[in-house]
Amino acid sequence: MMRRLFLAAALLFALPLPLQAEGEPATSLPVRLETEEDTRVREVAKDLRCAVCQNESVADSNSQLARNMRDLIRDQVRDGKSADEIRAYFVSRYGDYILMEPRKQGWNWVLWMLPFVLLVAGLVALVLRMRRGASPAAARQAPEDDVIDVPFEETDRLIEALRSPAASSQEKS
Amino acid sequence: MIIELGHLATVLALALSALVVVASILAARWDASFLRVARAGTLAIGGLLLAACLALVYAFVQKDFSVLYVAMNSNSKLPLMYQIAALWGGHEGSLLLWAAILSLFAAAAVLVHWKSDPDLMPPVMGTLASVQIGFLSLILFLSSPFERLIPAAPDGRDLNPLLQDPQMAFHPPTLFAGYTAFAIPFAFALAVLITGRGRDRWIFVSRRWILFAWVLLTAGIALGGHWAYRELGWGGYWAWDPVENASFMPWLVGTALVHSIMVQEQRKSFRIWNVSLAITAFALSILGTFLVRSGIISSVHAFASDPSRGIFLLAFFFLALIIPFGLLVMRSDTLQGEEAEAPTFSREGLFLFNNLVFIVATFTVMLGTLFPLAMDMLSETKVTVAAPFFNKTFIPIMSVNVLLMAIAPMVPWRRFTGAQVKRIVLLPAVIATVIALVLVLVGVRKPMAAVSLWLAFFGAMILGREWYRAGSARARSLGRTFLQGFARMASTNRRRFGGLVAHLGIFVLIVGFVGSYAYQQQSTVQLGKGEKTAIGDYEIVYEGMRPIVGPNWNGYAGELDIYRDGARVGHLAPEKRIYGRADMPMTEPKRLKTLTHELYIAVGDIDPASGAAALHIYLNPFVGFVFGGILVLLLGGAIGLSHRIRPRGRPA
Amino acid sequence: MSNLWKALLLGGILGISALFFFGLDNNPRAIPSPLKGAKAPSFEAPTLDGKVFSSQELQGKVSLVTFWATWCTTCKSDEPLVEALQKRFGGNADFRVVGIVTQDELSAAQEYVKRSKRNYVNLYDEKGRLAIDFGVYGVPESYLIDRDGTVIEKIAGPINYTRLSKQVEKLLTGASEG
Repeated sequence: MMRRLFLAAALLFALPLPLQAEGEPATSLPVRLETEEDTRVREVAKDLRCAVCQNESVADSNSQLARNMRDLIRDQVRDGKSADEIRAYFVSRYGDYILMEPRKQGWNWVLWMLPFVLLVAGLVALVLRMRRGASPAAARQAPEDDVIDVPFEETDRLIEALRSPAASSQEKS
Repeated sequence: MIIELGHLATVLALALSALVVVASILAARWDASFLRVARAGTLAIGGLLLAACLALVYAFVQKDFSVLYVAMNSNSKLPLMYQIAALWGGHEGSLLLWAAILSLFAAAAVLVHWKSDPDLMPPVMGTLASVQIGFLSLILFLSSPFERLIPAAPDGRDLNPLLQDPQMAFHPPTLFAGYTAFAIPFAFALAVLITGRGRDRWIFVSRRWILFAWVLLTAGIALGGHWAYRELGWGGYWAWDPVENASFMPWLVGTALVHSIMVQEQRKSFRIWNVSLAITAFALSILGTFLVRSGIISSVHAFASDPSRGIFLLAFFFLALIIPFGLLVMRSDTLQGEEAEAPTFSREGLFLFNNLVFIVATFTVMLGTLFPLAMDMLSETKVTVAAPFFNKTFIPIMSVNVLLMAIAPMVPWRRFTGAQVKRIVLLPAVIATVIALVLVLVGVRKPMAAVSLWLAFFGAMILGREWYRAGSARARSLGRTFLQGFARMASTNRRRFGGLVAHLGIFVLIVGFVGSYAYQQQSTVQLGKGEKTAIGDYEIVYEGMRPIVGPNWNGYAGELDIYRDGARVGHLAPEKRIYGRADMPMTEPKRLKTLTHELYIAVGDIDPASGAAALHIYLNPFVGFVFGGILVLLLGGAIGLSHRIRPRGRPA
Repeated sequence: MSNLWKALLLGGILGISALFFFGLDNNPRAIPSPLKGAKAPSFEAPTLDGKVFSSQELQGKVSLVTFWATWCTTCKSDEPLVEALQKRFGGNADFRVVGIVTQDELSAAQEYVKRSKRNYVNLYDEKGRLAIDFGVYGVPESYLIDRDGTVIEKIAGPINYTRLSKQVEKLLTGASEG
């Protein structure tokens, strides 16, 4: 049955195809787009964890629970509830676990802040030590020796050398 | 019969591993001739484990459902390719593959470094054999793939449908190879700590192993991302899943190591640091195995868990950390240089920053991955830490490194001045700012996106100018064309060139990330037959469902005609498949690729009665740059790998 | 290496290993319910034979609300335990078991209950709203509710008969004493 229907559909579409290639609209049916409501449902569902899945949001999951949840979100959106209100409802039922993004409160501050605190502390400590290392005494110590590559500065010098005609064959590799 | 031989080979390999450990201790302490015993043992383990894998593959190909592992992971209708790949389709077999790859790398390392570094060989072989003992015991005592099923099953349960994808042939072995290759630098680092010799030498010996491991791990992760993108149907390639994170952490540390060994080569500093990184990279590889297989964290990749296995893996992980770091703490004085130099405003100084950022980034990933576990322990609450957290922390942290990456390769070792940096940075910064402002005007309004793009252009422009200058300088000195000069510049220092190519890959990657992550368009619509929808400037006409039949599945393909500006530009037929083993439907998204974006469509729910279907449609700008950037990154790694560095003081 | 670094290093290793060690007991699927200690949601739903059941009927009673589905094997093995509970305390007018069929077809559930002759009321949760209202992840999940309508415990997965019957007994007698 399915196949026959498909054949019929294929035949129907086979005729108008060449015309469409020349800029005609694809079909005469109106374009069916995601409605604003769909988008709002998806935006809320994206922030909620599909509780029975692994690391998937309610928006992305195909599980029955996620479907039911999307359905419920849709009803709540229709009732004019805001995204925050809907999220709060889910938290009251499932706890913070349902939120894809941990809330910025309590112990979660450790999670949110520690990486940045470490980064800034590390950067500051390094800069301080470098300023100490950059003292004239330390700079004088550095002897000139071979380098494994030719950085920018060396290239500049090379170009300078090449510009003076006497040095045109002095290139070393 | 064959499967028992495989079992026997594994048992022998375990016995030989113990023998190698004993022989290498004897060789170091008593009589150097035991070294040959250890070498023969190391090589034999490689052969035995390879044979064990082949025995298991043979059982799969023979459809021998009297082998439990085969019955659990194969099926009489499974295509041949997946029968072979099913070797690593479950916990037991993938562990065997891990051990086999490790043994082959160990054998290769012994053959390659046997002549040049005899004094490091005993501890290297001993260390690798000890690691091997850990894995082989786990295989033989707690997760044997050789167990018989009596009476035999009439048919197998089938390979997990999620794994039935051509990528199955490449992603897991490459990833495992990346993890295990980090065992070689780990062993050399340990050898230095044990013998107290070769504290700079090991860097030269391990450099290419480190880069090799890094290339494999990069490729393994990228293949996994590509697989997820092609197969899972949610339009993305990276979900910050705990197990993805577990593979990402050794990658980050490995990347730090690839950079920091250069400082030790150049300046003989960072010694303790490099040894620590080598240990950490390998320990994190084991941590990944632990997280996947202990059931401690829920993840898409998790294998069925077993508490005794968890304890064993934890003990293994603990030993892999405490013994090397214990040694490091006790012997750190042998690594210390003549003088502890303070970092300076120099290229090596910037490498220090680069390493700091990599470590903080690794820490961030680890914190996010383990935080739910810690919260559960401490306060009995469950929290979810998922993609939003990682995107909001990891990305800004890493952007510091992108800035460093742009500048550091162009400043001199030992010391640079503010004036030098200004000369390097000024013009590219101005141009990048102009481009970024134009983009903001065009509509790139998300701050992080604009900053990221600025960084990518900035870096690429500094890089381009460096290449242009260096290439034309060479061209002039040789009296040849620019291209020939460029080729000469590239080939004389392939290591530097490879590194810069890898950086270019990252800049390309950033453009891909920004486009596909920040500017993805998404739409889910329910379409009846003959109806159409639109996304971006595409129109999509749904012509109905066509039933399709595969070797071990049935399904539907949605027939979609794609129009752009009224012209037909393609036909996509995303599929929905149902495999015998689980009635969980698998989705097979299809893509229409162009240079700047991809149209990505997956089929959702189908209403069989009316033929209506839900379509998940994504428009992913620049997603090709993500995978293209990774190719460039890998190319850079390969170029760097082709360069052989010799330690200073030795004839080139 | 300074002593500070050594201490940090060893502390870090021990800390992370300890976390994993205690984490081995952790079941990532066991998620505490915020409803525990809070008022159970009130609801109104059709029974399998088409009447309307309201949570008002549970007022002043100790109740066990259990979510199940016909395709769920654990629910099947739990069934005799729930029935035994109903048998033991069902004589007491102060105790009620309410089964709620969720994520399932109505006809399948009706068929199933007809065959198994349940001795307690079963409701049909058509769109899974009741389940979401109770914070249900999967089936079976059961909620023990006291006379005031406060959720005493959420049981995810199979129930433990001995433990549960003790709790019910305590709730029933505790309230009559107080």
